[in-house]
Amino acid sequence: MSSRTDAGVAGWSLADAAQAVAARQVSARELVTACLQRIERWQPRINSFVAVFAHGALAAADRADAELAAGRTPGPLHGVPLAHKDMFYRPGRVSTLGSRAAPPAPTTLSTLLRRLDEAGAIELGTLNMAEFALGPTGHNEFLGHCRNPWNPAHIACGSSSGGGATVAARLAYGSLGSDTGGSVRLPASVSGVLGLKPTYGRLSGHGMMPLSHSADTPGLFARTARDLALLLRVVAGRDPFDARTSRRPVPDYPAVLGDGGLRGLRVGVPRSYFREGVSAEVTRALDASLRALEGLGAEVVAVPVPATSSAHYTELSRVLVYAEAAAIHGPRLRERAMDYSPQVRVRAATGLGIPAPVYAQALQLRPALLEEFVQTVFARCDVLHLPTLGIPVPTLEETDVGGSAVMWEKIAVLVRCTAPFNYLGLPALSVPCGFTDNGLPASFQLVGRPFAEAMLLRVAAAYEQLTDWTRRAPVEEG
Amino acid sequence: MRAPIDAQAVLELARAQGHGWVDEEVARRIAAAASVAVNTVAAVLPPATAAELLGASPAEFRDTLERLAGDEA
Repeated sequence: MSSRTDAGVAGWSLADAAQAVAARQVSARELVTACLQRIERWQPRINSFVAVFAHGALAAADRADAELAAGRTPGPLHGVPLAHKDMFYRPGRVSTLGSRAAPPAPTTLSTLLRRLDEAGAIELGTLNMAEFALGPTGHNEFLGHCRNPWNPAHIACGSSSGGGATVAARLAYGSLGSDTGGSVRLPASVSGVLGLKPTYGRLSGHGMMPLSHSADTPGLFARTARDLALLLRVVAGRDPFDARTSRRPVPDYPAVLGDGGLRGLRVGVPRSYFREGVSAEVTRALDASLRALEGLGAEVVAVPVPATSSAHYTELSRVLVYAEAAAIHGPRLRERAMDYSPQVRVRAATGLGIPAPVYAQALQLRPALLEEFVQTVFARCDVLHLPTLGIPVPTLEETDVGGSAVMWEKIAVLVRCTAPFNYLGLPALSVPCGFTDNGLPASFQLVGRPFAEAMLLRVAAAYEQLTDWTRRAPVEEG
Repeated sequence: MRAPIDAQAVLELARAQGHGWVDEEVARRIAAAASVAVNTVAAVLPPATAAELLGASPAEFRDTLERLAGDEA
């Protein structure tokens, strides 16, 4: 069921909320209070929060309001309530990592949390996630499953399950997640919000739970392209604590969103692999979005993708993730294996069986395969358009396979169109484009050249002007 | 297609690494996934050029991304 939002100030976009606070048209306390009231109503239905910092958030809001009253120049996110996946570290605060085997409270502060703090954002709480970020469905035996706000019988996807659900339900204006195989884009897609996995190296992973240093990418959830642009502008950039981060200057993303026209832009539709196995309902939504982009002046072109390699990117990504995850989890698994759920226990240990030369070769192949992909695809188009998830959003029951033999198959279906871009390191943005017959959202995914986040956001911003998908909100029961 | 990785070998390898919790069923699951991994890399890797493929570190991969970037807007 969908409707235009009636969520009051909690339903405003992040950009509008930030602007209204800065102009003192609304107080930070009003924003925080509105979000807390919604969390109270929605949490029993969707279980998207792990912890709610009501007292701390209200105190922070009062400080933010007092600073404005005293004439302080506000930061770009001054007084805006956000909430993040429970794996971004703050000194002295235990992050559950979605597990009952979580480590003690860290002493480090996540670089991304520090940048959001400095921009004036308020942290409302921590969000549900798959155990150790290993799971694309949103199931969590320890914290309880996060549920889809459009229909709680359906999955919220994962691993950043709480991010998509929280932002869609208007419980916070934006969220940090992590994306190692689709873990931001999939929850965003099934919740009807935008989810960005930036280029590998665009955002710092310092102070974020590691799963795979070769594939982990911090990501962002928001309800509009402009909101994502604001958040990205704040958190992106070189970090001396993370050698993976790029020294490339950070663009003023909100300033380059454009006027909504896409004349001259070439939107590529892959001729093979990515459109195979896509359901008729999702195909209809994808094709309608392509017609909308054409209406904005874009040229839609069929493009080849590297034929041999495309079918293998996901599996190559798995080689990296499982080998590195086994190295990270090895010591904990030796001591506390039974504190892991059956599925995550097996997945975290899969690297024990992957020969070291195979891991090294999967890493060594990556630059060459990236170059092949970029030269093949982006010589013919500016952005690639493909599904985020090629099937209607499944139910919790349909995907509750634990550690059984069918687990690999279920996971493969979900990450088919997302994991390739973790292996290739390319930026990818999931954009809502309608609903399937079960009433749940469908999305397209835009993929660009390395560091082309601004272009992806520009296309999404133009598309939003023609459609109202991102303005629709799930309806509260009762 | 190469021969699948033997579950018994995985079991012994896991035990040798101190993972006494890995049983035959878990070893079968790991062996199935690891076999796919080995075959995937074999399918993509051109045998003669393996020694020429350099640049495997995260920072080197980021350098490749930077080199292939276009105009950001």
